[in-house]
Amino acid sequence: MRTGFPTRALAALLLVLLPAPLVIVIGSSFSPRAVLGFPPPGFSWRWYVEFLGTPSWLVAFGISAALALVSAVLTTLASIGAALALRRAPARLRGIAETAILAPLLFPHAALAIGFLGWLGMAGLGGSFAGMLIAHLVLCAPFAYRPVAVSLAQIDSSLPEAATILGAEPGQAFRRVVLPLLRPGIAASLLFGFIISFDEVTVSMFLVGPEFTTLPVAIYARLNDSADPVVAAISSILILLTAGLVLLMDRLVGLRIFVDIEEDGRHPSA
Amino acid sequence: MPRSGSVGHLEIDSVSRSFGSLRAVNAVSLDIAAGEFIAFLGPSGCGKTTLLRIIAGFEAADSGRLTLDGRVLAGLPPNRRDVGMVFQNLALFPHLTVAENVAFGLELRRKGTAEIARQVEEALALVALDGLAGRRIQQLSGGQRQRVALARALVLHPAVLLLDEPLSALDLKLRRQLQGELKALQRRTGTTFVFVTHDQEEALSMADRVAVFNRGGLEQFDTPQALYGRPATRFVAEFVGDANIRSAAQLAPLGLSLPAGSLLVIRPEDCVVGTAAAAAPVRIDGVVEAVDFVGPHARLRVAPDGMPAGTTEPWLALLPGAALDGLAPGARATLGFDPARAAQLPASQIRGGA
Ligand SMILES: Nc1ncnc2c1ncn2[C@@H]1O[C@H](COP(=O)(O)OP(=O)(O)OP(=O)(O)O)[C@@H](O)[C@H]1O
Ligand SMILES: [Mg+2]
Repeated sequence: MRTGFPTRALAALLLVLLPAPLVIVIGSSFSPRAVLGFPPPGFSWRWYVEFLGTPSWLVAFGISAALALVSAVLTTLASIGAALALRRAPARLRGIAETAILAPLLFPHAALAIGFLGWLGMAGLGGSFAGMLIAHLVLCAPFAYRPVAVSLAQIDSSLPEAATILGAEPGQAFRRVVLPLLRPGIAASLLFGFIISFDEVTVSMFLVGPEFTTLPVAIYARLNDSADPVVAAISSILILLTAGLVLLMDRLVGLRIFVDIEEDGRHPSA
Repeated sequence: MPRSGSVGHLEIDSVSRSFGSLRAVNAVSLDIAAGEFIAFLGPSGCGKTTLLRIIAGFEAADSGRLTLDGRVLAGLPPNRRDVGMVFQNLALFPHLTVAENVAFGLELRRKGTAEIARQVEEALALVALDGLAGRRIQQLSGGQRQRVALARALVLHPAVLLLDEPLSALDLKLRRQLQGELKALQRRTGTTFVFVTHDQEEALSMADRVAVFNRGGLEQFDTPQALYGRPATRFVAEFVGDANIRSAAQLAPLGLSLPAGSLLVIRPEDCVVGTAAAAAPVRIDGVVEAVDFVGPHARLRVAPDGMPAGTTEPWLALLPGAALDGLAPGARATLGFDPARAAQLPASQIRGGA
């Protein structure tokens, strides 16, 4: 089917609009003046220096990075376990469990946040790293589970059986055959988990404490009282970090998984 | 790489397995000698794969006993049975190269690197794949994948090699070629082969003995010649090759008397049509219904006349192509056969079938 003019015009518009915010953020981060604006009236590293020289920014950055790392690793491990267990479960039970894992996607984040605020407070975890981590684990779960589960579904059950009859104990069959074939799914889970946690604002905003905040929440708070370009500088660093992470993943496992995970049931290498 | 002739004696003693109310394998007993090439033959769903998986240890039998060279297999996991398997979908490891696939079992056995390299090379040479050791599985043709799966299993010198329809995904020409190679390989290694197929020609041409299954039960276990020439049941007579199967009542008007309830199996190639039928002991007059000419021979269907309705089943005849002269659909013809060449099924053994 030939694409008509309106479709192509829309596509062109999107191609311009998608990177536009990135260009504006990165451009305005180099402004020498104390007001956020584009195009910048000059060039300076001033706001990068300010970010790197302010302990409260660096602490928030460290907390967010640690939170994202731990969330990504824990949700990915849990996802592998859940996917392995649910693969052998009766279809009904699997349906119920998968819906539960995906549930955080279905509810408004503000509602989830109020829920967390209530029960984390009761458990004495309000305003703490542990409390924030619990919330992030729940929010990352749907994104971490799917790539692993889809990867696992693509591994034919005869492969571990073949390993077994060639002499492998069940553990060896898992390590030498299942795990290597799960690698792209695991990498995607880690990446999704990390980015979801690192970017989270809505729920985190309710759960920060007087002594404890995450980087996105700190950025948001700063924007509320003054719109100076330090937030643009921080955002530019985050863009760079994320791009680096994605490139690294592409190098390690290939990002075809991001396309393939949407096509259930087909073997990626076939 | 042949092993000493005495390994690979597999005894299956009234093994059964049910899934819910379905009897997938029903009291099957088979005694398979060391070094034999056995085919499991039967229609889809008759329990061939299930029995193979029980031998491999992936499924447990509900009852019965399995021994391999006197060792009881019950309770042994698949990796301790000294049994190899080529899966229907081959189950090659897509993340490993050809050589790494073949080396997989050797590495688990903690052989030295040099020893592994030597054996992998030997196994790849055995299946004529030398030179492809470094290839990825995705870069191989269907026939080459087949050979990798064989090499991966054979390099471990299993006592028994199980093959679950390993050729079914290949086109006919390649299939014929690999059938020959597989047979030669089995001779050379002396390994006991249990080969599942639902292609009767494949089973007859390759196996020393064929086990015919129907609905979970064993119908007959015999040499290809015996299976074809002396089928034990109506099911075997119909499933293995074409046959004219006639009851005592249908044959009585022709002057043949059989014990009540028994059946006569007359192979199409034992029938003659036209002038040659004049000398046959039993003759039937009728009309040629259809002629399929396939080069070396021709298949004929003859509708007999003058018989009571309901017993006028058409007769099948297989003639040399040259003997066809003038026989065309609509022509009147006489079909004859010699009952001495036909197999008789006693009433007590008529199981299965239509
Ligand atoms: N795990 C299982 N659970 C339930 N039923 C099963 C299972 N495995 C096999 N069956 C049933 O047992 C019967 C025998 O199956 P099996 O796979 O052994 O047949 P087969 O002879 O190998 O057939 P095919 O030629 O189609 O491969 C079938 O009716 C099948 O549906
Ligand atoms: Mg089968």
